[in-house]
Amino acid sequence: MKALIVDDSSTMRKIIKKTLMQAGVATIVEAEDGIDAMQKMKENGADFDVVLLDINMPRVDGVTTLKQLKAIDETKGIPVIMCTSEAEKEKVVECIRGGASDYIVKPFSKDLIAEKISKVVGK
Amino acid sequence: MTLDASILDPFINATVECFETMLDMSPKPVDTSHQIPPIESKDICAIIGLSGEAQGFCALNASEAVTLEMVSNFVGEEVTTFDEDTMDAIGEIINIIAGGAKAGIKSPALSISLPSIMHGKKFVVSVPLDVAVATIVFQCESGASFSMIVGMKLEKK
Repeated sequence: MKALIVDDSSTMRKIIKKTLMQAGVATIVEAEDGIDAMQKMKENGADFDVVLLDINMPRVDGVTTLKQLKAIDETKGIPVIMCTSEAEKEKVVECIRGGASDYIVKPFSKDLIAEKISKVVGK
Repeated sequence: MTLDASILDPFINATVECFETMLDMSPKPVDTSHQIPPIESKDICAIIGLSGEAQGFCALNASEAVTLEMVSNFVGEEVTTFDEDTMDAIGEIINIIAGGAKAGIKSPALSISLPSIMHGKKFVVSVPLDVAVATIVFQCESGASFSMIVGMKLEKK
């Protein structure tokens, strides 16, 4: 399995990466915002099984990035799990309508990430 | 003027939930004081501003040793220095707590700012005199303690 983690916080990328590795995800690519995410998607030939996408990021945020991913034939089928804080929970509805497969609200347990990934990838 | 439970409880609950879920620590609130600033800070003070129907701030206040214990638990590896990554982690912790508290406060409706981290010795936190401030002290099972400072000036609607 190959996953793309998109988060401007190096801490959150590190925590999610460790959790994914423990859950058996073989290849993990990191991006620090929406622009970087689209670049990494291009560099990897859109070969990802799942994207974990933070909503609140500088330059290009998660909502905009989700729209971009869902507008391109090569990436629109990749499951996207949105990551957000309680403070931005209202944006989740917009993301689910925009094609996100699921969401995670911080604070989250490591088990929850593994469970969500298993659920969306297994669909 | 003091902050009541409708304001303070969401901060207590968000702090406990963040620590239990993501830091594998179980802090318990052991004391709440309604202090008049300036408040003597510990070594690290992570502050987030609050705006919207009220103005204020919340701050996580801890010693260097306790902060390193928090960050180590948060990222899942031993952290011994205060570099850019450590500061980012502290910012994430206060961001998650403030976000959780914001969601738990029914009124006033609040927005939260970006976090700022202060690191140093012997500094004080001061706010305007008409801001109500409360300091909640938490104690962890390891014996470590830290505090959450909440300050708010309620605006007339």
